[in-house]
Amino acid sequence: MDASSSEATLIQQAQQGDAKAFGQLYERYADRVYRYLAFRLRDAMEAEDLTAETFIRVLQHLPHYRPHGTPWGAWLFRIAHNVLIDHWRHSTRHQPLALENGATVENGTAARALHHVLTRADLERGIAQLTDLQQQAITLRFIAGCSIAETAYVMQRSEQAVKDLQHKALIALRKSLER
Amino acid sequence: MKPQDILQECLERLEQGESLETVLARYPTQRDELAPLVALATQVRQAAPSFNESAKSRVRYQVYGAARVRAVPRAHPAWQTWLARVASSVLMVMVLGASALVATAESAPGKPLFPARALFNEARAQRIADPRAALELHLQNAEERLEDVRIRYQRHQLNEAAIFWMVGATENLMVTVENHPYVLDHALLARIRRLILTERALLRDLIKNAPVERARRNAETLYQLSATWEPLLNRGLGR
Repeated sequence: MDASSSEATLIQQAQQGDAKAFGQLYERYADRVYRYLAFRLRDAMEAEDLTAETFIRVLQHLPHYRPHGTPWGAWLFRIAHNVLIDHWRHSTRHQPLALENGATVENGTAARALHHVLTRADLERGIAQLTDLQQQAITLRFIAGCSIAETAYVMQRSEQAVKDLQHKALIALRKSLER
Repeated sequence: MKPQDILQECLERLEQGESLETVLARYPTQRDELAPLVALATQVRQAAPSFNESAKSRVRYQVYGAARVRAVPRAHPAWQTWLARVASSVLMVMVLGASALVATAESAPGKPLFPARALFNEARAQRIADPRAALELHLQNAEERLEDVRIRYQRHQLNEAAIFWMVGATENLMVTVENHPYVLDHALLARIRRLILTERALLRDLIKNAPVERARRNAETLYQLSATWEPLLNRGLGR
């Protein structure tokens, strides 16, 4: 049984009320959902709450999910995205993410190609300069690890539009970091 | 091929495990443009916040709880009722003495006599036979307890007892929700959701800003208890 068919089985079992199967789906996706929410919210505890809210909402909508329609990951991240939007509608407070300002990201070949090592704070500041759509694309693609197809579904845009956004966002981020 | 398509192809190859050098070697003419963008994408990936184990297990507790209540009706866990039981016993003793305070101006949330009036109302709610009326009074009590804590917190006059009573009042409410889910309508549901959201946000704030470690730990414990409210509400709605 490959990964996608075993996932399809888990989804089917969860739809029939199997709590254990739903638990396994949670274990598979919790990290990615949390990363997406934490990066956009910049508040670890709020991200924790909204991660729970996302999975509870997934549970509520599970009977309506059609396995042969939207891919599971895309469907789940669309729910996480909606939870985030709802949260922002009801909240006026935005706080910076509690990351260690001096912490650096790994200094590998990739970093050398950029000619200098960036701190997380540099990246956060740079990403904050991007348009909201560019931020969404970057966060879904590189923080949440969504594919182009998943990102396109979550953002309700074409795959080509997401590739364009991704390209423009990286160029804009690079320029912003070089300033 | 457009630059954005080439970039995506590079990123996919990296995701599949190819090294940066190998990937860039495939596009010698675009190498100078591609290298910094691919490197930047890699750095953004490495900046992803991590979901630490204790946070993950707190969320797991909520999510698994919600999944279980959806699957099988469960017995009421002991910890959910102890606050209600203790409160109920104490309240009955307080009823007679507190009844005279109900209408005084000094008994609003944040005022000195509020705790006595709240105890009176909480005891009254326990004795109401009509589930809808009981639920409405429990909700009003919980909202007032929350308002009381909020005011005291702003004035730097918060004590731990007020926080326990606030969570206890919401517990009473949620026990009523669980026992009589059919009385919920959209208006009540919206008020309860708002209450839960605000109370949990306040507890989070207390965890962050508690002046002493013991208060922080207590707030954290109550925050964890409050994690089951939302699943209970969903179960109450039969979702």
